[in-house]
Amino acid sequence: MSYSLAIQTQDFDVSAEWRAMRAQVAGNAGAVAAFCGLVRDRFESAAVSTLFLEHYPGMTERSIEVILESAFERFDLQAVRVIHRVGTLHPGDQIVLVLCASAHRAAAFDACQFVMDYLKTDALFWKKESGGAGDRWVDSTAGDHERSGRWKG
Amino acid sequence: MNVAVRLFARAREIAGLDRLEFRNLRAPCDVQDLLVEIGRAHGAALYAEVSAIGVRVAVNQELVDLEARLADGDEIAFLPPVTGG
Repeated sequence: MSYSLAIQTQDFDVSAEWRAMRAQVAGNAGAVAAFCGLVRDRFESAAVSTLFLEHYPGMTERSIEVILESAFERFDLQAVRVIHRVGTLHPGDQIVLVLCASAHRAAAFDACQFVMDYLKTDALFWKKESGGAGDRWVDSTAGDHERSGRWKG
Repeated sequence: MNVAVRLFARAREIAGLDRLEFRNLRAPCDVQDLLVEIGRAHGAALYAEVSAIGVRVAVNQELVDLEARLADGDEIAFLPPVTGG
């Protein structure tokens, strides 16, 4: 099981991460699927000027490792890289990166969705939006839970 | 016995602290007893936040239920519903 995980305040360089993943799986993998999440400038019509993310060091990493371990059980994966940012972010900033390498594209695509869906519902992060409508701690949506729920059973 | 409490998100803001220390708690003490102490020492708003539906409890970074018995030196975290990704 080859995965690596970083939780960091600083931005990440997608092309550097991509090159590192290609070098790691060169020759073995036929596909690398990538997802990068960005901060939006609105939420339900209210303008968002900053997003603040907090986590629980140690337990948050463990909550993501559990997701990655089940991804490796479920899909034929060669390597996974996850970066999740914390701290203060602004619209347009990169917030999360998931790279999944596999022999074939279906597993790479599916694993990327699986990891993202569970990052939304199972990873220990808390998000606060500030902007036109004041400050609010974001609640996870029913839609998020439906998306991760569909991988069960 | 002494324990530490970790707070996140709205609870952290209500308390104005991300970590609370409880000293000389009488043993035996479970998570429910600790919740009562939190309310007594820090007020009803914080009590309501950490005892709300959907808040999970971890002791030393392992999820537990409200009947879990606490030990000296434990770190108890109240984890609100998550919103990552």
